[in-house]
Amino acid sequence: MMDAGLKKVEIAHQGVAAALEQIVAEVERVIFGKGETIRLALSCLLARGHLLIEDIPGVGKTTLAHALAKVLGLQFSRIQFTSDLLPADILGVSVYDTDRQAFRFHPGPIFASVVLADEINRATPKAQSALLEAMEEHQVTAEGETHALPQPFFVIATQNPRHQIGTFPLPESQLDRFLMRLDIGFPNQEAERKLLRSSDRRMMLEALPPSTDAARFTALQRSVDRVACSDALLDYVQALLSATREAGWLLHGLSPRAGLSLVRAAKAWALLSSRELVLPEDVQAVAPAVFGHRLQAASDDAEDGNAMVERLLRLVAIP
Amino acid sequence: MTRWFRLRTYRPPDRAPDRHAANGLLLSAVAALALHIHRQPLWLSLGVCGMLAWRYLVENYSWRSPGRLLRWGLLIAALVAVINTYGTLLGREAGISLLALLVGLKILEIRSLRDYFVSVFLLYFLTLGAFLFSQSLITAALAMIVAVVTTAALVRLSLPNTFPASEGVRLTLAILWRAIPIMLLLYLLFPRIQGSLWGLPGDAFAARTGLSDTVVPGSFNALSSDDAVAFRVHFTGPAPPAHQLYWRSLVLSHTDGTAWSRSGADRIAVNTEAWRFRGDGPPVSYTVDYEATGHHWLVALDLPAMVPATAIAHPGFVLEAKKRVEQRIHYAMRSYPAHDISELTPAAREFHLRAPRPASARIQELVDEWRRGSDPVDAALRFFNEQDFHYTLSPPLLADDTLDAFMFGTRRGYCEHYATAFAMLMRHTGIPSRLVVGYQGGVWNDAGDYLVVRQTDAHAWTEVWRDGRGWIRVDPTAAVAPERIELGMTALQALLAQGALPGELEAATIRALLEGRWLARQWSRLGMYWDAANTAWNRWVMAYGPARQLRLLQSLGFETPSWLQVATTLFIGIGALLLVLAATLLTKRDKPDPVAASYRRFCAKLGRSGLARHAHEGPMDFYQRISAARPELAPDCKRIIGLYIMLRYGGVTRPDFVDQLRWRVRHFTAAGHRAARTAPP
Repeated sequence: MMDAGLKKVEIAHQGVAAALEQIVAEVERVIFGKGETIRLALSCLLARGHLLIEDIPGVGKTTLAHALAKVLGLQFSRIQFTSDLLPADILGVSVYDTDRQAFRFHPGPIFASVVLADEINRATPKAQSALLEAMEEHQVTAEGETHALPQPFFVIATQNPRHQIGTFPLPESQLDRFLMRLDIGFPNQEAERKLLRSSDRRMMLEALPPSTDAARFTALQRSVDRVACSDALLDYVQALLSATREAGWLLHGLSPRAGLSLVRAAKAWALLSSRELVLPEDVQAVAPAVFGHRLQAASDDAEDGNAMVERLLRLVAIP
Repeated sequence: MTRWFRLRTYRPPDRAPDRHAANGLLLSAVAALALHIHRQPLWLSLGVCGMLAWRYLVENYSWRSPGRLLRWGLLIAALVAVINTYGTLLGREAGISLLALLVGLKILEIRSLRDYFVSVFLLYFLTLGAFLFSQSLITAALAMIVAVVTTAALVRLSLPNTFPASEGVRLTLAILWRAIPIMLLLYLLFPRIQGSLWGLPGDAFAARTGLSDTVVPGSFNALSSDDAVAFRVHFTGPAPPAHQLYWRSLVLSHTDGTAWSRSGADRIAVNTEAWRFRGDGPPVSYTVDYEATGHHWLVALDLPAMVPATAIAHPGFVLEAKKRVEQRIHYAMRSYPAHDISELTPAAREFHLRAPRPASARIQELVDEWRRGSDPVDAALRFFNEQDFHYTLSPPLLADDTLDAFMFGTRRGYCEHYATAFAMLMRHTGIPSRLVVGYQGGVWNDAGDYLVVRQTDAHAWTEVWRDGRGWIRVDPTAAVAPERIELGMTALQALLAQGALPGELEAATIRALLEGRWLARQWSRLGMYWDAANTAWNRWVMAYGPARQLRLLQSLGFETPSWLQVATTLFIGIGALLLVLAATLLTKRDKPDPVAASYRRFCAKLGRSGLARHAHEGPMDFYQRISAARPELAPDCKRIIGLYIMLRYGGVTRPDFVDQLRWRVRHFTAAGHRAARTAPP
């Protein structure tokens, strides 16, 4: 009774907490000093969202995607986006099978649970939209036939924010399809030293044991739905949303879908923090990743997305 | 203020009331019936109880409801029975009986939810009916209880059947609590009329056997056994000592030798006496609450120095009410216990010496002897004191020549015997004398700080005229039984009941006799509290009549308030109250969440000690900051914040957790030590 307070806050289902902790720990064996980013990426996947990683080459975008797929025990495939990539290269093609006198569908690389779409902004809008439609629909339609994508299904897209020559940046409407946008950033001194000492990334990835499989991960996703989200918390989310709509320094306010994404991500983050209820802190933790790519400054010289979200969080009081 | 008005609203049930709701209604019906049971004929109470019992069996044991034919038969039987008992269907008694029967019939025939509601409102009427008979404190208290029970039944009917009973009781009390302003408004502003719309309650009229205009030795016997309260007195200052508590009511100067009375002749003779006297010492101010007596005579402490507005003055310092005292009345008085009167006309002197019967030889011899002495009055008192006279409440019957038979024969009697004999003896001696009738003493009520004078305290004494000194009060009873004056009638009766002989008792013996048992003393203390409560009720609640209402309205700015104006004020008042109620109900969304309010208070306490929460700071972050900055506060804060998180974000809705949070925040001090170490609720 006396300590009923905090104990009740702790997660009831210890198995879920342990499984999630293990996943984070395994990925951290490959990606050093990026616990926060790993957790955000994992909560994005737990919330059934697609992830956009935006950073310069060589900071471990691909490794992160690969490690997540490996640890989660999910089928992984990689699509390198180039300017001459065609939708069929992503989705698959129907080829005439002379033996059977019929067209046969050859699934493209998108038919995997974790799809790494590398340098997505290099491809033409046509190829991009083929991917984005599949992301949205969780299915592929070719030659009048519909092919369901595996469950679970995630797209982890990367893009290089600089060197924009010859690229096709994703329009805002497409960015909205990603639940989160993350940047990885440089490792700190200690982590970098550890990285330099360690063996080959590829070998290490190979050696990573899977902690879950598709079925168990789907179960984890269902645990997210059970996380409590009180009216008081929704009050806070709504306060944040209306603040973006009233702020003069933003080009436009956030959509209801952004709010929905925020709540889902916050639930997953709470579960990752071993809690079965969402706190304002969870919202604040995921808000930069969820809102960052959705906000646009009214003036050109303004700060980047994450800074704008930080500013927003400081402005809005928790009701 | 707004919290006080706020009421949770509930949807009415969408299905029929269950048997618990029906049993609640039956219970309130029994309660309302119980209010009237002592005034109703037995057949009626039994009949209505029978109908209620039938309903109970229908609800709980699946008995069949009575058919239409039987219901009509019962109705006709009820009408016939009421007419047979009272001779009419109208009027107070018959009306209430009929109402009680109709309540029973209505409950018996309940089919729909609407029937339940009709029954509840009939029960309210039946409860209200009790006030047609009595408006005493006990009636009001019982009716209030019945109203609570009936309202609880109504609330139970209006709620879903699954609603917890305790919550229903709480809601009932909440509703009635909010009705108090409307009740007060109606009490103050509902037009009061002289008399009453339906006739006054019976107990307001109940005329007591009071003092009569004629005194014959032995006539007080009825009074000495009547324990009823005659009047109550609140003194402004300290109360005068017991031997000064002579409450004067009537002066009787005319006698036919046995009976003393106010006859037509004495009025003419005494009217010449002026209402003048010289007061010695400070006056005594007091108010009298005089019970209904059915006659005109008021009481005042010897000697009254003023005349109340509702009375007229008579010679002999007698106060007569302008109207017969048929309701309890209240008046203020001022008296001078020490006084001197110095005027007697020759005609009045002659009148006060009249003795219709000649004295017997023995009496003549006695008075001649007194006359020879220096002070006949003293001699007479000494005679009573020294000879074998005794005080008793059951004196033997007297022969034809009353005076002679009493003085030399029986020598047993009480105040009347001694006062009439003494007055007669004085007239034979040649000293003008008269009889004064009233009350002596009274019992002090500690609980209410007032004096209660009962009919048992009725007393008679004499006044004799001494040249140069005026009318002097002489109480021969005091010479025979000083305990009557010093201890009061109640104590004297207790002594007599134990076989003691007044006049010959030692002080210690008296005390031992009066000590009584512990239980008896507690009982009398309880009686005092009860009397004090009733007196307060009568003085403050019942006394608010047309006159006081007029004064209130005048103080509100109406110079000559009409019915219409009073009614308008009343409706505007009720309208304003309902508007406030409606406004608070409609703005319910602004209701501060107790959890959020407690957390705000907690943050404010920390803020005062320099640890202010940032507006955008979540509870966990705040806790981390507190435990880093003030580790000694961490355990307390952990519990508070934990409770807060659970209640506000965890979807936990436990009232005991809310109470615990409130308790913890109240006892939280950022100074580092806890104010109280008592257990949480």
